[in-house]
Amino acid sequence: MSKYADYDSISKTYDQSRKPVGIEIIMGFLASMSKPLNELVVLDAGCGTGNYAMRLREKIARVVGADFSLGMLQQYQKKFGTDKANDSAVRCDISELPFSGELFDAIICNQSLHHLDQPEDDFANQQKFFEHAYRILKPEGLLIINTITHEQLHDGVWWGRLIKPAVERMTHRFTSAVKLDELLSKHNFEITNRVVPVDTIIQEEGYFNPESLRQQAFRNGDSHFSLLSEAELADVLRQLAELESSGAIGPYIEQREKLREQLGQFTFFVARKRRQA
Amino acid sequence: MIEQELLNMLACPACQGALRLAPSGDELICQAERVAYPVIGGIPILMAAEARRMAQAEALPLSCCV
Repeated sequence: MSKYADYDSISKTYDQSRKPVGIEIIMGFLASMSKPLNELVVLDAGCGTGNYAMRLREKIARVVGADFSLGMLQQYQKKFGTDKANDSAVRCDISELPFSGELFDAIICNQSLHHLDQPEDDFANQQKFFEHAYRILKPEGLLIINTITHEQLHDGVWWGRLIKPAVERMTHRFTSAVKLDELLSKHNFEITNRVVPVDTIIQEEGYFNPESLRQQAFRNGDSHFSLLSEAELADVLRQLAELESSGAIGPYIEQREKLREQLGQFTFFVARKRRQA
Repeated sequence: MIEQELLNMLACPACQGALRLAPSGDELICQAERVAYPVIGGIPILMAAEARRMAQAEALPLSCCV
């Protein structure tokens, strides 16, 4: 469950700016498993409106979506329509995954882990998620995590510096890459790969248009904005207006984008369930 | 309505035990915990905070469940 964003409300506009970025990377790792895609059973933990699940469903035998927000799951159901997977949406707290043991060949978790804990919780719920993920994965099953490193939080979007208060707060909700490695190892996962799609932009439509920051629907697609107070958001928009009126916005975005092009916006961590000794 | 294949995959979030669909079709029951989880619009709500604690008289024998 998200500790800071109201996804029942956000669900109404979420798909206007969010697409299943990096799906080809997920599909690639799933295709590399020992079974054919049409025999795999996959859990989408934090499935939201089902953007990833819909694409997975084209090739994968069985996809189950799990999310805390009923509003997001109702959008998920609308997408699947009469598909038999229509019934495969489950409302739950993904830190308490309510599934039988050794059921899934793979679990994908896209941009969801940072919603599980308050900053003072030392990632307790993320750890519970890893415990359950281990329990419900088949032997040597894959856990594919799509998240944002601290470096990407700061410089993965051109407006990162403008929303600095939110970014600073977000760094307490996201694990660092080192911490994630440590927690996965503690819970008997081995990271087998990391992939950064440097040319992929999470909210590609409207990303380069400064006007997007003034649109609530666009901001709803980036939960950083949920961590700004109204006064801080007003200050962000004031800074934006100054950059525009001075003619500096173009060079500003260009300069910031050089960092994004090096760091990328997000990272896939691919972890394999270890056999217990 | 929840399809059987999905039902077989689900477990009680409290004890990870099996769940059974109530005859009404709108609840999933964990007999071990004696709780009923709602099903809303075909979506199982498997969260302790949303569960209904069942009265003793409500306990369903296996044969009552589908």
